[in-house]
Amino acid sequence: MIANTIRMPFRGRLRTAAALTFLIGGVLAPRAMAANNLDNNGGPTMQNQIKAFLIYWLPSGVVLDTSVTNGVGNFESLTQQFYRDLSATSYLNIVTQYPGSCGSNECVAQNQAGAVALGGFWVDTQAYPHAGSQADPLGDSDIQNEVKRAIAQNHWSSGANSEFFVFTGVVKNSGQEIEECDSSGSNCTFRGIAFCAYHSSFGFNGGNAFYGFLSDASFNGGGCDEGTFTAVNTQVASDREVAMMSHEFFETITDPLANAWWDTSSGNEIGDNCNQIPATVTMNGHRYVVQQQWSNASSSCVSAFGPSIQLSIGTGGDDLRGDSSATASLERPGGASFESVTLKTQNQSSWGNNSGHIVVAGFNQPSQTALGQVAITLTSHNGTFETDDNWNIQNLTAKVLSATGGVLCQQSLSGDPLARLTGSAPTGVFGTPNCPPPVPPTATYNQITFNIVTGGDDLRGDSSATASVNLPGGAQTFTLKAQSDGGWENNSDHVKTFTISPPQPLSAFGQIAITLTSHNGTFETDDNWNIQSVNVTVNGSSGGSCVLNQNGTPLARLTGSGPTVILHPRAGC
Amino acid sequence: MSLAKFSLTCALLGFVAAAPNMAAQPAVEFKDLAAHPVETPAINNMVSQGIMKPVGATEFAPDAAETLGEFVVSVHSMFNLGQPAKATEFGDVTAKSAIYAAVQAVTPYMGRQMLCFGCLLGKNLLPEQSISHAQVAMIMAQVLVAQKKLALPTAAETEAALANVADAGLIPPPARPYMAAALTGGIVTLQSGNKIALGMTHTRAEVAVIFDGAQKKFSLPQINQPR
Repeated sequence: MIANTIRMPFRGRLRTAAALTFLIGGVLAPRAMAANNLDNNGGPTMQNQIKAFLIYWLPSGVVLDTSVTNGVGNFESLTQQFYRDLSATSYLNIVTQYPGSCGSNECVAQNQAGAVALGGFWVDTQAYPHAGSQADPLGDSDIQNEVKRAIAQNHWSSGANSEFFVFTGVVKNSGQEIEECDSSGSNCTFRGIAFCAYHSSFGFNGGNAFYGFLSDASFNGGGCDEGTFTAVNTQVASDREVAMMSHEFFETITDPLANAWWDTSSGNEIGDNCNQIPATVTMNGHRYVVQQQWSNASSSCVSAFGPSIQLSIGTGGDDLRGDSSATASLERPGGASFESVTLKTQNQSSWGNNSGHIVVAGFNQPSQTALGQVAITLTSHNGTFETDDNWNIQNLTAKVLSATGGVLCQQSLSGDPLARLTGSAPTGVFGTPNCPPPVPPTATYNQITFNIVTGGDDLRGDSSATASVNLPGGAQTFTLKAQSDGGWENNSDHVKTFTISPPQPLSAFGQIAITLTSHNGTFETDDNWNIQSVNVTVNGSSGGSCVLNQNGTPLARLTGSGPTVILHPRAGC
Repeated sequence: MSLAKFSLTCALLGFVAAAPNMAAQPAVEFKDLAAHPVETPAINNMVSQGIMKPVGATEFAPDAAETLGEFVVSVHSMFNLGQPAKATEFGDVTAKSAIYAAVQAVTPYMGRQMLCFGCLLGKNLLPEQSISHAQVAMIMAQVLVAQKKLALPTAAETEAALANVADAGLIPPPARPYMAAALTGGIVTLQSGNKIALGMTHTRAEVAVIFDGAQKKFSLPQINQPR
């Protein structure tokens, strides 16, 4: 369905302050150091299933952690377990914001069970080709060669969605870290721009092999403590290494070839904007120290993302021009907008004919919010001699996803074209009936109140009375009046409140039996009791509700031979 | 106190007040510049402005490697850089450090992540380490671009400028425009084999020539002049 009305475009999410400089009074005022959102530089990102291969390169005399007796402790097991636990977590969900190119379309890693896997691990005790000292450091080519050796030795397969991590260690006797330099030779673990780790790629078997160098964080003189000083898993060196590895792994997923997601003004990738800012997360029941990652959706460092909305849009035979912009308004069934998503800014590349694009944003709404429709608006920014842009939308898929990757709802629409947006009709409105408001959780009640008015015959002082309420699991009986309580005089009103455990929905409350019990003293006969009215209500966190509300003249007369009255739920409410 | 000693003292303290026509006049005749006749005027110019510091009363140490810390102090002084709103904390340059203010002022122009693209950067700056060609080029280009003395080239201009640079393939994508700007701006001169030699270190004499050349080429004010 296409709306014919022209709408004003929604304002898109703003980038955080870009680095700016100003000359003030001759002094060069400093640049703002606030982190920017990541730019999509057009390259591919990793897709499921993403595999990590861990190579512990530990020649004789080199260990991973000098603080434990065997030099390893849980270092290897923790770095491996991380990949077994990472899938379908709100932490991994962060990467689903960043689609990459898949031919003329875009695709994005899905966060689901098995999204990430440990491809394998290997402890290599072969000697280093260099001393690993500052005078004779390992080089990047040594790391690449080690990756090749590991692949060959273990018959691993490389591919577009695999990363090979090489861990070097620390000299056991001296505590000296194994030093390494990058491919330029200008940056090392100990000189130039000192690093803790890096990720890169090299041509291999007609494709690329993606790899990461991971120094031993706790022993790196460049400063790699990852902001972690207390062990979450008994061994701080292991925790730090996982945090460091998470930085590089997320960067490799979102920027494997250095041409996908990074901020062009700083060179920062997803992990760099949050460098060495830790978070403790629980994944599959195991706790990890991870590094926070950058979320474009919130322009901040996060350790979880979601729920989210994923809009996949296919352009038809008329492109979305390079200087045009587009937004999507997420609207309730009645049309009220509750969130605006920038699909394309004016300075982003055109969406060519017959190309597919994915935009992901946080779905920042309470779970009760329905996605009733998506309104997409084209805005032309005409240059000289340009007329308004026209844009054919061929298909649209809207998915609302949970933080752990589950599809909460999905609506797929297509046409030829599905919609044509023009200068005079720039907005298309697309209904999403598959995303109705979720059924509100059934209210439950944990309190029941009886309001009973006695009629022209009292409830004697030595008598007792109970109310028995039918509930799932059996009747619950409450004492309205104990034998020791004072009598309920004629025409008197009595309110008694009791706890229901466990709390029950309104529909669970069945019939209610009110019973008189006479405790006759010497020369006493059975008591008779006139009940004029009974009002029963229940209460819970979401408020109160009527169970029954009955009255009569009297409503019931309880006697020794007929001591019980049965009242039915919902009567009189 | 003799005039020479007074001038040297002032130079060491970084606030020498030489008249403009004294810029190339040595406040003191360094004894270790005999093998550097070409660089001597630049060295004298930088020392007289307090941009670079001698290592002794009559020694400049022209062949010693320039450290990152020295370079940062010089850039801070030469470009009169202000303090950023938000500090970048380095584990080895704390607020008590003599070079803390200079480091903070220059850090936004260091392009550390651009030069070490894909790296998880350490928390230490390593100011005692020798500065590389890549670092000098990046810092100078970033500051000059920020001051609008140097234009940042387009992607096409960048690749054209780097087309004949033998080691251009080692320059990370985000650093390429700045390396190209440094090259076309004369901050970087190609080494043998048409290489920038990214990891090669600069001597103090070389840095003096770079500063002196930039000051002249980009009409940067001498630091003793009113701004």
